[in-house]
Amino acid sequence: MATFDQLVGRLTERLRAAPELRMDVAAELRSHLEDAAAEFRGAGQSQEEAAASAVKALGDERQLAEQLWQANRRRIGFRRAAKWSARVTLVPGAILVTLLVIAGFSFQNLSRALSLLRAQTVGFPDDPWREHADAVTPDKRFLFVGDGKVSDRLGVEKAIADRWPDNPTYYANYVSTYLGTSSDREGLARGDPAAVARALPILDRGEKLDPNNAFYNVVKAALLMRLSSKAKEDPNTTYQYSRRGGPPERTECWRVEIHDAAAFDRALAELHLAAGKERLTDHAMDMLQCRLDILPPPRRLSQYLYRVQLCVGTLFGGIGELREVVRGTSAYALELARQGRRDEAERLLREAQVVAAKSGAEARTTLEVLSSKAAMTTALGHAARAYEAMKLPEEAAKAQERLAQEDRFWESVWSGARGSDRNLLRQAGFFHSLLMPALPGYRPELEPMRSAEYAVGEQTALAILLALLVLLAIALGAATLVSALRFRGRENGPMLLFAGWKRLGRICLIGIVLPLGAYVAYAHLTSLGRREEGLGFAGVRFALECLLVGLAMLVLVVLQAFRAIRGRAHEAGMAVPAAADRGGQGLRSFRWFAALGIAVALAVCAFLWHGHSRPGVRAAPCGK
Amino acid sequence: MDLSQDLTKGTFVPIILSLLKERAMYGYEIVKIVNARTRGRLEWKEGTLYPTLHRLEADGLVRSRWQDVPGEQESARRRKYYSITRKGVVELARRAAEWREFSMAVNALVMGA
Repeated sequence: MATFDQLVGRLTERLRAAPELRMDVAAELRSHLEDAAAEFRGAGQSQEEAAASAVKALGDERQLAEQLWQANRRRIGFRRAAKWSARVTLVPGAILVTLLVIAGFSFQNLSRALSLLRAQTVGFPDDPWREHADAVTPDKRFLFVGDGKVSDRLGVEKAIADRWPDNPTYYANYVSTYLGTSSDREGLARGDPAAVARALPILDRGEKLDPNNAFYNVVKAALLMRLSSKAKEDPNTTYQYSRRGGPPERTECWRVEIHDAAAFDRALAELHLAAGKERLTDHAMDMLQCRLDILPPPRRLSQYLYRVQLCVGTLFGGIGELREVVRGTSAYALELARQGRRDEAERLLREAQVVAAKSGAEARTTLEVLSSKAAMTTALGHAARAYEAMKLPEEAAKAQERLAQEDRFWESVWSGARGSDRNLLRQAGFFHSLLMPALPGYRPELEPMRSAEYAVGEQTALAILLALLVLLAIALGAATLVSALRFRGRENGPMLLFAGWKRLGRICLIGIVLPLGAYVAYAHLTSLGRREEGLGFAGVRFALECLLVGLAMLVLVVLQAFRAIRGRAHEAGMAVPAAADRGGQGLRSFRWFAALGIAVALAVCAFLWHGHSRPGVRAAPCGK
Repeated sequence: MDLSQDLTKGTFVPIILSLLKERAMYGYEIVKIVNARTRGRLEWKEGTLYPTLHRLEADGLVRSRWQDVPGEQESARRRKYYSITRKGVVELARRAAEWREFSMAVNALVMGA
């Protein structure tokens, strides 16, 4: 009623410093006047008379306005202080906490996890055991950070080798790092004479230090072969070999084009030396074990990931070189066999096999085992063809038989591993599924890494969601600020409403706590989450789950916020548009979004359920 | 017989608190009940009630919440209901004891009782 509005406006004029409180008091007084007028009307008065009687019963206007001001002035002051302190502390605090969570918690682990994928560039990242660094002896610390004068990996490894010049493990580790990360790396790969000339003295020193190790001779032989020749596949010469139990395939032999005979002879001489030595190792695993032994047991995820990172970042010097040497030597032996130089050919064929076998004897990782296997297969395949060329059918048959034995051995490995390892690969996390050797009997503890990966994934998803919510809040805050500045001082300008702690709590509860709780229950308390499957296998499903939960949270927060603002505006006596009040015109377009969201959610649920009911997906009980 | 404003002024707080101890009420309802039970003898100016309620709320003796008027969903009218807090109950007991002491003293002087 217009009369009441004017009166109430005058009565609450002095409360204008707190617009929300003023609206609250005005709505209460208006409600009182309407109740009173209704009663007077019920007693037989006309509309105007009833309104006048209600106003009169309320009391003296000036006296009441003063009393209202006196009664509420303390609350106005408190509200001002609360609003100011909330603006100063709550919003920046919430953003700060969110940023800390995002930056310091999730992305740290994510970046560490992602860095595992580019293991070649992994050097010495921020040490998560920094707090323990002072507790360990200076010598042990030196094995991680060197003398502190250089920070690049090669410099650190060189400093370690220089500090303990008689240690063959540290020197071999330096050489492997030199081959894999130095500025000469590309030159060495091309067989650049200058790069090879710089590398040879380094390898000579290693040979003096570790005279019974064929590692340096193999690397030297490979570098000299790169320098002096070029290997190409020969489509006209093949040998038979079946891969992983499949039908026999014809594999092309290699052919070498020598353009520096002297250097090639030096390469063969190095191979000859290598074949006569006791062992062939690059000490990579010794070095890794040495460092792992220094580290205290992992307690945090970042510490566990750091250990994995050290393992993944291990550089195996000489693996590629071994295959090159065997390939070049075998191809050259085949050529000699064709030329009738039988003794030379037989010696080279034998030495290639010996070197391949020596590397296999020292292999401690799948990578090394597979590399040795490939080298041995190449050596035997070429030997079979070379003996045929030398008209030695018995020797050729022997070589072919050994090749078949190799094939049968690997077939038994694969077939033995296949049945259970298929499930193991499902249960392995992302990293273990990459690292886990396909060898029978190798059963790493899968659960901790798998859970760690899920933890990283969940933290990352939460961080992204928080970041989105903060961005949304910042965007809305900026829009509100612009609006407030635009309508500053105007009577009918927009008003900032505080929805109330209870409503804020409800938004947090329904929009954030409940969806997260439901997800935690789904993922960790029931079997529906299928956390026994690793992220490498269930990555898409996990991403969809996160997307679904994130969307649900976003929609629920927006809906609850809208409802809270609507309720508060209603309480304050503001004119809430009917469309918005009933979810009509303003929300009609939203309904389409909601329908689309529900359709997407149903499709995702159907996808997840399909995966759940797929035969053979359930993990075998042998997995941890 | 109507009581003077001076006499009734100090009774606002205990009366309001004692009514709210019975149940939650809105402002107009409080006025109606006071008028009905005292048969109009207190003659409250209706508006005076609200500053008192607001002061009590600021002191934490009562709390308020908005509620829809039953049967008037279409017009979406709401009323502000007040209810007494634990602190308000303690304050009511203190005021009641104070009133007893005060009335006994006044009775002794004025009525010779």
